[in-house]
Amino acid sequence: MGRYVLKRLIQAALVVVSVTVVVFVVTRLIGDPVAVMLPLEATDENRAVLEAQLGLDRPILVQLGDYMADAVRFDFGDSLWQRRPAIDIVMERLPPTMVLVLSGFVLGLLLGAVIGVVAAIRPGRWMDRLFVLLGVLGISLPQFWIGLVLIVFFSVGLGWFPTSGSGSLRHLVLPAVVLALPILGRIALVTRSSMIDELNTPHVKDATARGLSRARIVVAHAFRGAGIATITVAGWELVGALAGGAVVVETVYAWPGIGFTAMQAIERHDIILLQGVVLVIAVIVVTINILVDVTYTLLDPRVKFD
Amino acid sequence: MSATGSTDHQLVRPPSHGWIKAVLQDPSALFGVVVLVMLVGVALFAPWIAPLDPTKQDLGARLLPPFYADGGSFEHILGTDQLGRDVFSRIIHGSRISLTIPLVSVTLAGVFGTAVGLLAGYRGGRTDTIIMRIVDTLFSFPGLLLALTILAVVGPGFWTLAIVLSLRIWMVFARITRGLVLSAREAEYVDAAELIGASPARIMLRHIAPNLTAPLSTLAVIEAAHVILSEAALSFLGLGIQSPQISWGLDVAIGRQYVFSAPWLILLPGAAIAISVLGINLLAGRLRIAADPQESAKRFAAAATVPGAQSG
Repeated sequence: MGRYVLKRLIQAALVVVSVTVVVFVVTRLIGDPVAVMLPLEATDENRAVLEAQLGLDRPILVQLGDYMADAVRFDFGDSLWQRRPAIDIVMERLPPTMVLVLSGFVLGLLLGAVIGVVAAIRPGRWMDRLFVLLGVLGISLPQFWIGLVLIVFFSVGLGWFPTSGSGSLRHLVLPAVVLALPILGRIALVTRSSMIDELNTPHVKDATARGLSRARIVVAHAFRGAGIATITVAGWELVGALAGGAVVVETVYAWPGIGFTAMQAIERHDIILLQGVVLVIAVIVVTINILVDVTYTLLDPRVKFD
Repeated sequence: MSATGSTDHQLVRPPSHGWIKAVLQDPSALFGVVVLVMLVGVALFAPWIAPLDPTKQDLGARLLPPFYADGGSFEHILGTDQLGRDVFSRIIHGSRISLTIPLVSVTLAGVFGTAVGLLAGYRGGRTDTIIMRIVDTLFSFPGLLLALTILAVVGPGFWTLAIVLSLRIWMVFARITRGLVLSAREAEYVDAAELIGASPARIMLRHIAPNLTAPLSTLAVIEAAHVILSEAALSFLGLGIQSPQISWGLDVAIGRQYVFSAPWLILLPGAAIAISVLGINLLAGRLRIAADPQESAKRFAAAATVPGAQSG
């Protein structure tokens, strides 16, 4: 077990290093950071000053070395927009994102699992068909659109919730629901499918033959097996919500989190801040992946630690 | 699945009706087919279907509501935007991006990913380990955020967008192809072909490739839906398709400023995305079952053991 975790940690470090290199290559080599940061009317002199300031006049490998050394210490430089360390801004904006993503995730996971289990009890019946349709809707509706639709109906029309911003529980409801939708959809579909498989396994049929109640079989026997698939998918969905959904949902609701910050950084041509966001999210994503893998191996005795 | 395994499945397999019939009998899959046919048809014939020029501004007819709202008319059936452009015509023309971007991205990703997966699965050993390690690493990348960064730095546009989106999905094709090749290699007919000295290329094309077409085309359909959503989201965020090109996601972004006065500018183009993706996903769900003998056997078995369960 210890060796397994160590191995996963090394793999995780490898992921973070490669994300860092990719971000470096994209922002420094493919793109022209100076051109992105400066206004169109900038002179060559302005360019030279900024290049020297950012150290872009040095050999590329020296730049990469420095960049990696700084990234390890979470030192991405000063944000061009706010003129203070990018990591400070990222750390300030991280808690609102965590609140939003975790509320959406828990909502989607719980509802999705319940819907999936209930649908699987009688596959093919109207309730199952309805829930499958609900699941497919969850993964099909564009989040930015459903977010705006909810604003049109519930904020503008009925006035139940604020259109944007944060600060109260009422501000959290709409963005959390929008973030939960694809999670709910995917979890419901996967849970249903693996529950149907589990309900047809010999040990569940055996439990039926022994006269155990249907409810007990579904929860104690089948869901224990199906839960492993649910947890795997839940891990992916959490990562997707953090690295994708949050950007869209926070932009729609002006939720002052890390995704909204990424869009502000892009608008203000603040590459330093943008890469700070990307690298911090990469570290969190990798951590979640390890946690999911370890949970998975602990739950499923069939998985060997190698 | 081994060769003996598939004979087992033959025993419990439902009498084959052919997958076309199966799709037509399933209302949700039929909906998917209709949506897909409409999407392709509308995209191909957009200039002939659209009543007006989608880019023609008419400042005298700004923000007119659609026919169903107060003050709406059939002249601009779905209303007009802040520059007086016809919303219906813009939705018709917007279908072209929602068809071409997934076509390009999925083709690029599918060809590259399948090639990589074939290589990993067939060569095995160290090649396989290295390739799969890279694929696993890429799966752990913060996808959309990295795509945003690349688009912000390189600059948005049709081709950048198509390539960035294909970079996010090729690994899925690689992983699935590798898995399929590995299980096909176990099959006795592949062993036999190797034994009689067939060349690797021949084994790959004649014996392994036919096992890949059904699952990979289903995957392509699923990923196409995924790409449509990503394109719309990136265009909505201002980093995808740029005006004067027309994208549903971009039109929703423009309509956002009129959420109080002209909600149809958000509702209608977004509904076009939602219906397209819903249709494709419903169809993909049915295709997945049709393409996978284990799945259809499972359904048949479920229908046989659980009271009241039928295919569907």
